Amino acid sequence: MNSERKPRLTGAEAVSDATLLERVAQGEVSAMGALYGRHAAALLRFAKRVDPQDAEDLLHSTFVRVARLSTRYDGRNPSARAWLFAIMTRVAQERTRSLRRFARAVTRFSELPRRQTASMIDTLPDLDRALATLSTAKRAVLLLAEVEGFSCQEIATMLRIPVGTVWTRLHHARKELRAVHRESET
Amino acid sequence: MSGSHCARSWEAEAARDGRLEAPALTSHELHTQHCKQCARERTRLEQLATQLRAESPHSELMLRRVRQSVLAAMNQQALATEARIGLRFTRGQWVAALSLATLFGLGWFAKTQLAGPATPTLELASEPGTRFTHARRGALDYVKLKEGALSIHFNRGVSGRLIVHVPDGEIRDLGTVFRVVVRAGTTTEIAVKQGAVVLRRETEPDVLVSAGEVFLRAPHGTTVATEPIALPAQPPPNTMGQASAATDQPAQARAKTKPRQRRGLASAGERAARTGEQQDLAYLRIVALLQEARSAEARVAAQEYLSRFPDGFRRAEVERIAARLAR
Repeated sequence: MNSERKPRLTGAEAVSDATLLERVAQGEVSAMGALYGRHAAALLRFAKRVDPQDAEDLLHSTFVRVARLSTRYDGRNPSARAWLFAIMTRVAQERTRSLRRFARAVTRFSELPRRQTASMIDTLPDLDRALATLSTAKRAVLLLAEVEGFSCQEIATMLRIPVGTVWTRLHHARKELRAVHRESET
Repeated sequence: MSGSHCARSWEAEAARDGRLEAPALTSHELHTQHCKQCARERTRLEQLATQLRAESPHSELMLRRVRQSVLAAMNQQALATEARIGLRFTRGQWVAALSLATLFGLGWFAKTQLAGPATPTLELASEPGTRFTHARRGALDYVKLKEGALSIHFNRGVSGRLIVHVPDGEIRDLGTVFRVVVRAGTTTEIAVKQGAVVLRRETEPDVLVSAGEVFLRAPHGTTVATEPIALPAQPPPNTMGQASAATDQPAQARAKTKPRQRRGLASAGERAARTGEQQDLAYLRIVALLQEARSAEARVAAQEYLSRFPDGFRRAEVERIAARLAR
């Protein structure tokens, strides 16, 4: 019998994210399933706020990238929560950038008014509509701090930016959000 | 909002974001207890956070759908990786097979081209009317030549041997290309182009004939020449057994000469070959007259030879014949 048999993943809450990611790196699909079950709901909530239109795609892209980057995960940190959110933020920013480029190209080509994109936001609830007006970077930082409970230092590490930038983004995000929210209330 | 504005209202946000050090934080806490504006600011920030944290209804279906697609994507990725590993393994096998094939090819080339074929090869070309038989026993080739002329090209390979049985003895091949002529039960000519052969006879000592040399002997046992005679490098079929000054040079040295020099040497060689042929004919005529017991005519022929070829290479022998006939 193989004495180095891996423990079963069912009911394996004791298994750390680091272990799961190690197994994902070895191509173990069930480990990815376990990791997904552990973090997908929180990530989907974040995705819905960061990119309300494409939350499902964002979640999918994030986990596909997790599978690809699993070999690079620093196993010293047993919880991969911050790492997963960082990946989702980067994916969201990349998508926003590429969408912006695409939108610019389409706008140039068809000379559509820029305000047309705002019509999509109109269907959202007030706060989400206000959130949608923020840039992805500010929105992500605000949500990571206020909703997901990460400290500014953690966010700085996750996004590989100085902590001062995190503070600035947070301040401006709140200011803009409150201004938009107040405007909608009046 | 009141008209007055507290200068420390920014501290509410700073405290929330962890920007304040411990003393400043304590000071802010104390200040907030008395400053309504700062307290309100703090409450607003908290309300905003609460609103943001408000759970939007989760779509369990969406979560399941994404899970399915993620796991499917990972499966495909794993399969693609396995396929790549398989392909790499196959490539490795191909590389190993090609390397082995190259090694075998080089080995074969070295064996066949550099060291010669493993098995001996024998090519026989006979003139019309030649009677001979050939048999091979293991690595030993036997050729029995009864009558006629036989050109032999023998490659010994690794351990091949060739013995040519002639009526008056046998010829052991030590080389590759030679020609044997048997007339009336006697070996009359052995011309070696490459390598060397040894003629062994029962009653006479062995004769070694090397490349570029020829052994000539008159029929009916009368030896007319037991000394090997130098041959031209590429003698025409009917000029074997003739000597020339030019052909005394090794073939390799001749091959290095320039074309113009080579042409000059070739014409000189041809002249020398023609002269040698005439010498041979004159000499063979003497031998034939002696065999027919026509001594007087043989004596005249010998004198003719000596006057015609004062530096002929058979001069000494002809002088002996002439002296014997004169007695």
